[in-house]
Amino acid sequence: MFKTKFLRPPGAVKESEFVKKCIRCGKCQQICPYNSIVLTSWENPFYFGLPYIIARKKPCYLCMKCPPVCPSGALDRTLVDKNKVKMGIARINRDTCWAYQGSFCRACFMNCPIFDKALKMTDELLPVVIEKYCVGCGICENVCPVEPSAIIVEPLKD
Amino acid sequence: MKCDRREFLKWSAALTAASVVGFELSLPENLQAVDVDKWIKSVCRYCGAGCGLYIGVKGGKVVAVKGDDKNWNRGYICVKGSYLPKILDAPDRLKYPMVREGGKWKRITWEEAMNLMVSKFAEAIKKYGPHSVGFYGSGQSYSEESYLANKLFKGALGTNNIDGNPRLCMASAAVGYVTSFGKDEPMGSYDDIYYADCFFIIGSNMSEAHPVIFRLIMEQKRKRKVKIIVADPRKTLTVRNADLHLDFIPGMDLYILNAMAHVIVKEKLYNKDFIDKHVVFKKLGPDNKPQKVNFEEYVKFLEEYTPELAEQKSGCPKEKIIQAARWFATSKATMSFWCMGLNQRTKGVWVNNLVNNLHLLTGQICRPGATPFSLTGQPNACGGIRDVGLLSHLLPYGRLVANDQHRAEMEEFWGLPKGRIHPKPGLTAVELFRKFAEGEIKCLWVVCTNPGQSLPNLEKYRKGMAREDTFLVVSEAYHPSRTSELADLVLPAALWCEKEGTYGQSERRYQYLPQVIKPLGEAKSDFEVILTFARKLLTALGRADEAKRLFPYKTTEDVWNEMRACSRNTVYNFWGMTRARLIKEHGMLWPVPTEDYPAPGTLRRYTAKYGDPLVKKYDPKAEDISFYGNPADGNRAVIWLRPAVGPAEPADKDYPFILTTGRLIEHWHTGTMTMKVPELMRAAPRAFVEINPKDAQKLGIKTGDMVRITSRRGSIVLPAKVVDIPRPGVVFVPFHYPDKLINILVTDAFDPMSKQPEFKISAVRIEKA
Amino acid sequence: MFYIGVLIDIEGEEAEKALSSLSFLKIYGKKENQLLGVIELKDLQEWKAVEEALTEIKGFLGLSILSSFQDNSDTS
Repeated sequence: MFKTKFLRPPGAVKESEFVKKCIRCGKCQQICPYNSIVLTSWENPFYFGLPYIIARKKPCYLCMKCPPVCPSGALDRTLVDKNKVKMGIARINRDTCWAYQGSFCRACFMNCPIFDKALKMTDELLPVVIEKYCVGCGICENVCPVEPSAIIVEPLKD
Repeated sequence: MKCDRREFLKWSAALTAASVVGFELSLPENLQAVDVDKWIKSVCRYCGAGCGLYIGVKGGKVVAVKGDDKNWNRGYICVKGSYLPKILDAPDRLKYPMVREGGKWKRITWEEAMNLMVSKFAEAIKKYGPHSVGFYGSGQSYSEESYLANKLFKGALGTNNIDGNPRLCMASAAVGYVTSFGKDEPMGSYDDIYYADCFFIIGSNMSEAHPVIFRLIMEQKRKRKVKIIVADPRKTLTVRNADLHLDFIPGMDLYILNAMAHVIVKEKLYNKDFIDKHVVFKKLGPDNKPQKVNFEEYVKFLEEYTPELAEQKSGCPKEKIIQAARWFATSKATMSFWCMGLNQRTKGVWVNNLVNNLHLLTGQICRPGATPFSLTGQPNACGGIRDVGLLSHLLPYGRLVANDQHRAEMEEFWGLPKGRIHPKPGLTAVELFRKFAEGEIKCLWVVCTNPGQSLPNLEKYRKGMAREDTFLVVSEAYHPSRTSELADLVLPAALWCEKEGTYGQSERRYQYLPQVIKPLGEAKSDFEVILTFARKLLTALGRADEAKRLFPYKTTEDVWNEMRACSRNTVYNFWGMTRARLIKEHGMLWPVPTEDYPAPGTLRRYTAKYGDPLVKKYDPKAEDISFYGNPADGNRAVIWLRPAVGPAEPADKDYPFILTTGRLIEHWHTGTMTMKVPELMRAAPRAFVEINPKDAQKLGIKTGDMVRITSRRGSIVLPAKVVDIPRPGVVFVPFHYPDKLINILVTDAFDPMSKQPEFKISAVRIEKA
Repeated sequence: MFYIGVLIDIEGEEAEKALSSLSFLKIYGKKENQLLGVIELKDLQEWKAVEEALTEIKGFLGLSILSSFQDNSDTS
């Protein structure tokens, strides 16, 4: 089975265009100070060299250094405001999330860069994703203390 | 088979449906995939909330924990607690005694270790007297262990140089209770949460530090529309769930609390009847001695503390202060919670008194839901240190070193020659380590705590601990810790469910922790080690008869029975808490005067009407409320006139920011345990500094930038987290991380009354590194 | 057989009682005015009858289907 869902770097145009536009130059991967961006290899040979992010390993920290270096327009070069990024949307698995199991945990909430907007704690002390503000950076997925992560970013569909 | 499959599919449909809408649905017991041989009732190892839990054992190993639904926490535990099984077999667990020889660690046998330790201590005592040795205990040791250590040092050896780490966390609350009500420990309990209509939370980030208690409060907020007031310089998750946020410059809360009293008096919201019956007023006279005054003088004292002055000094809008005062006074029942934000202060006792004052002034006390409640940081700071008296000025169960009668009582109880217990209080935590650094203390034994990371102004004391000519013994479960790395001898300690004993948490609830598994390697319980050491040391000092007479115990239960007897004629009376009852019950709250006194014991003290059995004994004439811990003032509580004073080290031109330190939910204190859990390290991997976006913008700092923080004592580089949590002018750093010792920067100025250092407020400057 | 996870909005305790006595419905959880249950059907033809039975109950406000499981070994 080949991997088919990819979390693209911030500013990526929609998936069907992204795979056409990206010239696989690797500039975004080179500029990323956190080594968050990896290039596709055998996990899907049809997409060789296309950049993506494995949030559980290294999420996007929204430094916004990669969009301006993209030569092809696969990433929106004008994007500077991290609040306007839309890479995907985080989804909470309520069957495994500690907070929903009656334990108290707020790791995703505290680490969310769109603090207290994209992720909210309800008065029942449960985290909820506010889709309108969630940028899909994957930091929540990265820090979740449940194995496998109880909050996962779904890449944006076309 | 077919029926099972049908049942299974039905459950699948139900669970999937539940997950879609966030419906809470718990699987029936038989469908749950928990595979253990047996569940054993115990208590969480971490904070002072003291959550009851069950430990799941399989094949001699701890494999799971789950909350105890019959205990006060009703089955809830927090994320750290959920991962407790993983701390037991961490790779850096210390498995055998080790001695430092020529800068290298060498494995030795227990016998060699004990002989070395005894010879060092005996030599020092013979040469320099008993005050040349010391003991630094812990609010995480079991009560029986602390009781033994206290008996050895204060009783057998005759030195009061024995103090515990609660000096860094609880001392101000303890002295606050004693000065306000005559005796230590809260009068209320967690049960009051179910009755309170207004919660006043100050100096506590409950959502991180006491999450399960906070969950109970939030539950009441949903069910009953209670009011929550939070006073905190940071917009924590606790604040974000509050109805009213008092945001202020750290250290200026004394102005706010006095201003609240000012409003209550001015708007006549105080309870005159209660004051007439149960309260006296006092202030410190010019000679620093307490002096009785009357209500009128108190009113006059409050005159200057207007909400306007409080706003000017603290930065907290006066409307909010007035609103808080009104809610506090007029709610049906108000419950206060506070923790390190008030205790770790140079005016810690005063600010504790000021909260107690508000309860006394309004009569919001001694009935369900109305009580001041001090939260505890460690699981046994109350039961094992404050109650047992393992502080340099205390003797067991409310007795004082400086009190002739109390010393005589303990000398008789312990069977010591008259005058054995030294009449002068010994060295307190910071002083103890200062004298150790200066070489005046020759031998120091640190048990179950990590002062090499947790003391303030750390560099100074770490240098002292590393001295070659002194002898430092550290009993630890993990090695190296930031303390054990400086030791001369390390002793492997059994951890949590590897040994048995008693914990006493915030609300006077004593709970039994059974031994569930064998200790790792050659590790031994501190109980066994202290007992062996006591006998051997006394023998080496030529007092073999005392060794036998004072330390005859075979089991921890023998010591527990002696402790019960020791408490019997005090206000702590827990004679009725036999070991057998503690094993059976889900914790009991003292006083429990008789063995047939019903569980869970006394939920509310100082009130006969709501069930304190001791009111009749100590104050037979009282109708209901009696502060019988304070007979000197006619069984009345004290409202103190405490002038508002700022912190020891306010921000200034050179150091324009205030550094405050604190906790994260994932980690516990110095992280020796929680940092061994990969899942928790994923959620909170490294130290950081929280900076307000406004300050960050001025300094050109972005999230992720490395920032240098410098105080008068030292400097540290940390990644910035720019977030709207601390107020402008305040930066926050968690103190958990052993690789980033933030306490190097923290001031060691301490409260003259409680000797507790001001961890919470240090002036710093910050710049991009 | 079909097992259909549903969330039912109700009003009043009467409705809850009536619903819990239905043979094709099992209630698994309750929160405020919502019941979470599973409806068991032999085949989808039965759905009409189920819907009628539900709408007849006083205090039954509405229903949303959240999940469905099918047991093929049982279809005739």
